[in-house]
Amino acid sequence: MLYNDQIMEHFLHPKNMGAVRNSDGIGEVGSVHCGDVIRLFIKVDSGIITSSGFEVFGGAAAIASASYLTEAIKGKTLSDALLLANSGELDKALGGFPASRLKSAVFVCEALQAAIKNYYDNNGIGYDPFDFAIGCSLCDGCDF
Amino acid sequence: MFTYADNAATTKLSENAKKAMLPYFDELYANPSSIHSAGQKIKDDINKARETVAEAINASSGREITFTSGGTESDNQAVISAALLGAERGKKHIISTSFEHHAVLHTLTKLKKQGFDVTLIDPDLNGIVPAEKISSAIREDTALVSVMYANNEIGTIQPIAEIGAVCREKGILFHTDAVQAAGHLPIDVQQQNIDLLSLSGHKFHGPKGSGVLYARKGIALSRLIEGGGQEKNRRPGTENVPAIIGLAAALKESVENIDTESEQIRRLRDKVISGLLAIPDTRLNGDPEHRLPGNINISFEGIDGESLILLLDNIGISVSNGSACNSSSSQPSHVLRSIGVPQEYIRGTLRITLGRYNTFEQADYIISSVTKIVSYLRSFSSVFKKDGEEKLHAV
Repeated sequence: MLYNDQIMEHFLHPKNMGAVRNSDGIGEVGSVHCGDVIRLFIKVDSGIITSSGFEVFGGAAAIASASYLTEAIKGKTLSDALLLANSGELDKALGGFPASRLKSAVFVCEALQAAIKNYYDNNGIGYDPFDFAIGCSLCDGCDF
Repeated sequence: MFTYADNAATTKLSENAKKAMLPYFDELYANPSSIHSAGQKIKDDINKARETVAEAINASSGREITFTSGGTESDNQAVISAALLGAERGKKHIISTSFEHHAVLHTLTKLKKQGFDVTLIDPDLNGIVPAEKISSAIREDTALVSVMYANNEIGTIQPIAEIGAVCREKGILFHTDAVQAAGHLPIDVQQQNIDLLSLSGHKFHGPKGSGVLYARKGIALSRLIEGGGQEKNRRPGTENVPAIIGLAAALKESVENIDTESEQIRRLRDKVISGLLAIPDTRLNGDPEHRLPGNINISFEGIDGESLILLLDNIGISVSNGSACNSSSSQPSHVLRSIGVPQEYIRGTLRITLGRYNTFEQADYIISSVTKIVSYLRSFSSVFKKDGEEKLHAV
């Protein structure tokens, strides 16, 4: 099998698919040219994420990651969610990704960062830009 | 319902081929190079298999048939042999197409590094390389033209008889990789002006690890590895006897039933194609008429093929996203790119390849399952436009 059981479980039974209505922050990462496009939505109440959802153009790694992460951040403060996105916990919790699909998991984490950044921007909240290392960080380059 | 629809990747071994092979795993184990009667019996059987293969492709004799380990080896040996023959006469230009199997393309890359000049012709948008395109690329120093009979991903059939005629007229060697065609399309090496032809046993219900290289009489093949004098000095190493016997039995069976079987598979194919084209924002890749009886290569906008394949697999349907050799890479197929499939479709591509053992019930199951899963994946796609919604396309 290309993917382990944890990833397959999340892929086959994903949670939080689809856009969240009246969301407070949206993060979009990726490109159709290199495969995955993740759009992650958060709803925030008093600094706490109350609900989250995702849209994805991607394979099992992207869907499983988005399912796991959108579930894991519910009830968390924005700063805790940001820590989670930067921590590598996703990789650990899902038991590791095949090297060729690691990029998808990274994109999902970056989409969460982008959604939080979007929330901060929308609400005039200041932040340290170094917390948002968004970009195709693990990608070895598009050949298009 | 278990539905194997990846027959371009490999096929199930036929019962006849299996039966033919079994004695060679058992009491018929002698080495065909031995001079005792047990060995000579095996040698005779291999030569009978050679005659069977020769007859199936209308070669003039079994001497033109070399057994190999498969399509990849045959392609390598054909291309390298022709290149070396050309180089001996100062001809170092090779023409092929940009959507050949990697067994040809990567061999050409190697030859390029050794000083050969390679011209790769792009197929037209219907996935067919017209003979005129080949003809106009021919130069004084062209040694070889290599064009596949049918493409492994999109199934499009190339005008090989015409290309063969052009090459024959100009005295240029013509090789065709007929790995996907054998057993499904007629092969007549004489009438189609073919000098070198590659076959792979497991694509027509023979065993894996078996292949054929046809080389017209008078074309000297170069050895890829050194060793004993087996296969008339063309392919050293003790013969894979059961595989050779199985290949010949499977090819004979396929060729004998080619008309009825192809017709049945084509009917299944057309049913699945029309069922799937009813899904909105879907396109069939490659010419709808000039394609292998079992090939369906179809793209759905806004979803990723891997998700689709794994969800189909989860309900028992085995299909592929392009060539099977490519599944570990996330690079879009070189074949789909070469025929200009739009970016928003290219990743949502399925290759469904039907074969002898597929049924109408399975065709229905494929249609209903793919329809459901495409709609499910699109319901949370980040790039697919749903009714009345504007999707932002990420850069």
